[in-house]
Amino acid sequence: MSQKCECVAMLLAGGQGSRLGVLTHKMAKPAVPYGGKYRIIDFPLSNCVNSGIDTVGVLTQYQPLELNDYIGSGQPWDLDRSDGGVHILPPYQHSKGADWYKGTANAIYQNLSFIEKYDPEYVLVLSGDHIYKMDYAKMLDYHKEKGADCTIAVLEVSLQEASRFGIMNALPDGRIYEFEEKPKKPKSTKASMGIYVFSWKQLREYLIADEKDEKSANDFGKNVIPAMLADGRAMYAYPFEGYWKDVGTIESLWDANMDLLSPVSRLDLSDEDWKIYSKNPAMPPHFVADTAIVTNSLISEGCQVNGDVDFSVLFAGVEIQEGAEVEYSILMPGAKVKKGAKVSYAIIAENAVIEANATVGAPPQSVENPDDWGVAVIGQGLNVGSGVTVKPKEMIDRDLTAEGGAAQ
Amino acid sequence: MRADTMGIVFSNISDSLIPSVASLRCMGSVPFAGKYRLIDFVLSNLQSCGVTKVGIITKRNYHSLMDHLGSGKPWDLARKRGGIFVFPPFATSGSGVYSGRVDALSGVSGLLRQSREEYVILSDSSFVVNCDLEAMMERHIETGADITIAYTNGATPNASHGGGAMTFSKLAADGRIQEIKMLPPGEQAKFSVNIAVIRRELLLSLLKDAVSRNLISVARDLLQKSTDSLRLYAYELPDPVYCVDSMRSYFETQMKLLDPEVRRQLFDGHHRINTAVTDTAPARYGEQAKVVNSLVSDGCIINGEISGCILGRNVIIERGAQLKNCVIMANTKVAKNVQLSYVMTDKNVTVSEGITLTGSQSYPIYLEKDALV
Repeated sequence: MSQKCECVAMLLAGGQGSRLGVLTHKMAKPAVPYGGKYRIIDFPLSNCVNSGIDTVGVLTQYQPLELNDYIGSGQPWDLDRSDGGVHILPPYQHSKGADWYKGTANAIYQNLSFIEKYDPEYVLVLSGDHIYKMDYAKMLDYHKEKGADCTIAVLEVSLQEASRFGIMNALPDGRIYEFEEKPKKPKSTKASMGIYVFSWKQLREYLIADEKDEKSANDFGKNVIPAMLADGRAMYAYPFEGYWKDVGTIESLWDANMDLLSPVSRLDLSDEDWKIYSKNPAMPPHFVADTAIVTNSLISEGCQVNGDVDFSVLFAGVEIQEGAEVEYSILMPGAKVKKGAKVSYAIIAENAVIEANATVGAPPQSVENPDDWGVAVIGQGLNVGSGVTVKPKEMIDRDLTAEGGAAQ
Repeated sequence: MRADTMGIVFSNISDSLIPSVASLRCMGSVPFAGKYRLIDFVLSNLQSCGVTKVGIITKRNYHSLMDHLGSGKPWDLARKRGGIFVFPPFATSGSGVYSGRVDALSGVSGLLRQSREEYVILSDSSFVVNCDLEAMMERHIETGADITIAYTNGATPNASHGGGAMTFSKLAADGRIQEIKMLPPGEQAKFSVNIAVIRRELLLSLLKDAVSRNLISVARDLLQKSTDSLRLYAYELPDPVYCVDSMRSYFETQMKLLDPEVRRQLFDGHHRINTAVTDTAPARYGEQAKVVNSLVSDGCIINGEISGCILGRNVIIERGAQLKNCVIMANTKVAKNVQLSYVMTDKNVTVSEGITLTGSQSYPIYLEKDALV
């Protein structure tokens, strides 16, 4: 029996993130790099440890290798503990067979015994898709204060945006009376952030009931939350103020990176009181040569910058050669842009190489029809041959050669 | 990988050579190249040859060193078996502060006696090198040496104990040392970089003997007189070695890092160099930033102009500031319109708006830790 633990966090990290295309071909979405030295999952993990929650289950399913490798013992987040700590929880075989995680609720259901080992009062359910800094301890206090069975963190969004979210309609005291998934005519603008605090006793009942219901999709948003609401359970909306971004699409991932470059960015990564922890590569300080011009950018350790960089995010070990130009782009660890190449409004995944004089992406004003424009993406480890042009919005999943076709 | 070898590191031995930087810390924890401390090179060298037990001898001002080492995790030294052993001065006889290497080593004889490793690698912290200690170990075993000492060719460094630098004036074809001379600084010679390999049992018996005869210096009292009785071998390090033996060399060695080849050898040669992790955000360049020929660590916020500089972590360069050929250590703030040339700032220095400071290459201005200019 482990020591009793007041609150266990369960982090749903099994999502494929198919809208991120080539970026998630080889890794789960939470492992996608963000912000020059982080991965998406660093945010919920750092929030947990900064909030004093030191028992975290990470539910993995899709392409878990990179994620498992990254989390390791949990040491980078101080989650290598004798009691609690971080645990990777993949689907497993049990006496009556084996199941993949069918839905978010089923993923938690399959790990009932993990949670019960800690005999918690509360369970915090998180997703590994969002960039934000939040003190879960305050949310937990709110949950206790309201005597809630379930508390859902909500963010005020604009009325236009509201139709893209799950909307919580709540009374002035925060009590939720209605939940609408992506409503055409939203009645309020409180969008669910996918962060739930449950009183464990109640959640346990609902998970078991939900599992028995063969028609259920075993999903929190679709099944468990509506069922609790229908039974008149005490459900409250916890208002969150601050930066929060779902980075589920190429555009939003690009946007969220660009947000960091604003001098008045709402996401402060250098706050000593709320650090975002990550696994640090052992690389020397980055070097900027006398042929380089670097402005409005974030540059990580191990980079070698010999060309021009403006409004871009360079992860560890990126190399920009002389005469290369990079603007409004994200270059993930180990990416290389060779002499005279131009990278504009693009995401270059890990270890991809842009050969000399190649062009990747273009500014929005360069295309006539705005629908033709988008961020260009080059997949992990790929090679864009010398002189090749990759158009805006293109997503490249194989090597490209100068002959205009894909390399065999 | 050598599971049969342990390491002993002297963290203080030449503090007096760079008094301004080492007055508040020991040689091992002297900042270097923006994000490193000198001891990182020694520990990374040991790590890469598979050493998992390291004793670190301190003398004084080892607070910052302890802080830096933590559990030893960055060098894979947070272990159940082996790991890191820091030895503060042990006071039973006399002052408790050691007077020479013999004294210092006797202080760790307990660890040496308890250990089971066959060999010990001894190392100082003042030589900066990325070297392959496994190759040196192989050589040591192959030659059947009692002690193998690493050396490099060049101008002899300053030595803190006043006895001069240990040089090998006569070597046999197989590398056996036939004559040791202690030379003043600046002489062209094969000088020891104070990395040595010895069998643990032999080290213990030599120490016992040295203590009983009241010897102080390993070089002068023990080695120099034993070229006949002990099989002493010299091992030439094929890698460039940088010695921090004066304020000037401390500055100039860091400036050499602006050369890509020097950087490649030092940080990407035989292995990576590990250091304490601080989880600082990537460096941020503002609209007005003009950075050329410089090394910049994580956490810096740059809005001014810098050229030929080494910046430590979390350095802030405000708009209109101009820095040329400076070494700026962690958490320094350089305010608007400041002009600095050949200046070294220690950690947490603040240079206020509009100030101009100009040093020279041979005599850079040094601003001490926490200074407010």
